[in-house]
Amino acid sequence: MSCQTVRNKLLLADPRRLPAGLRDHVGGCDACGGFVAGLTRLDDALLALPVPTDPAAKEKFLLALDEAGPIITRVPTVPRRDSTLLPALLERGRWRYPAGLAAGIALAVGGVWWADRPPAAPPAEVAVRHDLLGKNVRTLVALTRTNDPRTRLTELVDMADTLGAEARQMYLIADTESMAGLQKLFDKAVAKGVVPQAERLPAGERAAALPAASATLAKAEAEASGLAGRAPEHTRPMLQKMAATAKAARERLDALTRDGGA
Amino acid sequence: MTVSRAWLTLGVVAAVGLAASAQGPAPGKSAAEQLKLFRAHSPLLDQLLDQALRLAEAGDALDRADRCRDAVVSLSRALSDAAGEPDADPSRVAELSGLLAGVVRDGFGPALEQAGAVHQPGSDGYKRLVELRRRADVDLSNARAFRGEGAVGRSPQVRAARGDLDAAVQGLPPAGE
Repeated sequence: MSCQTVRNKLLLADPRRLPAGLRDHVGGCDACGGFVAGLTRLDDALLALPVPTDPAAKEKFLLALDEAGPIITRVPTVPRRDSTLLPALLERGRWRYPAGLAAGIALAVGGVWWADRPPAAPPAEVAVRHDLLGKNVRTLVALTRTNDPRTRLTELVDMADTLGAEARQMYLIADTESMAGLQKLFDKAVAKGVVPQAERLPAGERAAALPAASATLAKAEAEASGLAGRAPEHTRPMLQKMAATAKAARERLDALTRDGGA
Repeated sequence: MTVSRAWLTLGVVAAVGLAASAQGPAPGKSAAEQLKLFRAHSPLLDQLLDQALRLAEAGDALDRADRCRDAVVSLSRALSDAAGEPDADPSRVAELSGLLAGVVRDGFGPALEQAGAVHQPGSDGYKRLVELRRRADVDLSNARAFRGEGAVGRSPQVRAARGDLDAAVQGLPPAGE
């Protein structure tokens, strides 16, 4: 039994007639022995208080006790150390509690909104276009609509130029098969398209029509040749072949321009 | 220190959220996407280039219409194949349908009209023209018969492209007798 428990029991007991359990503790505990001595002195002092002998005076004294009311009439307010809200929150890190509460409320409100929102519209479709295929079809349509050799030559040179640009865009990432396919398309457009069409041109139109086509081929040759120097090993031969094809076609067109292709 | 770390965390989370919400389709096409499309269309590109080269050698309008019909056939088959794939790509189906519509409207149809103006009924050229028109009807009815399943069937761009194709076919000059 602790000293505090013993003293709580001593307050209810007659200090002159302590129960055995309390008496044993008090006998071995100087502090509780002193507490009992104090209680005994207080009890003696109360007994020594003068008591009014007059019945009327006794009655008046008892009434005064009844009318006195509680000794403690109000609970004193002790200011909290953290009652100044904002500085206290910031200085002692207690902002986390209201912040956590606010975050929880926000999450709950957001969750309810999310669950209750109307079904979203399906995402807009992204139209993917293959530029090379589109160009190929536009060339084909243009060739369907004309009989003019010069217009045909312009369309075919443009097609070859587009294929060259495609190769320049893809040479770093293309696999061997794709790059070889692209190179064959370029070779076909140039060797079986541009050159025969240039040869079909009337001799009188060649000087006007072929230099521009030759310049386009020279550009394709230079770009393919330049890229071949720094291309991956597996696409380098295709770029070299394209450069050779462009060079041969350019030389043929230059000859047609110069001497009429004789 | 604790407060600044917490603010830093909040800032990072907010920045990540903003970045995530700002994500959208990347503009343009990458070389990788072009390569993927090239692989998918490689045989078709080869056929169309061959047909373009033959067109560059063609003589009159009837001859050009005849060779253009080869392109109509190639694109019709590519469209049917693309639409019939189990995981058909609506964008590719719409693109092929749109390209076919363009060839019919801007190439084949005008060539037929030019040929019709030259070859009078009863001539060999006219008979060839009628036969060409009849065969094109068969080719195009096959191409327009595809029934897109799943995403292709629900795709607005496929519906729009099919509408363009229907209009292009209906705009062809009549077959004659």
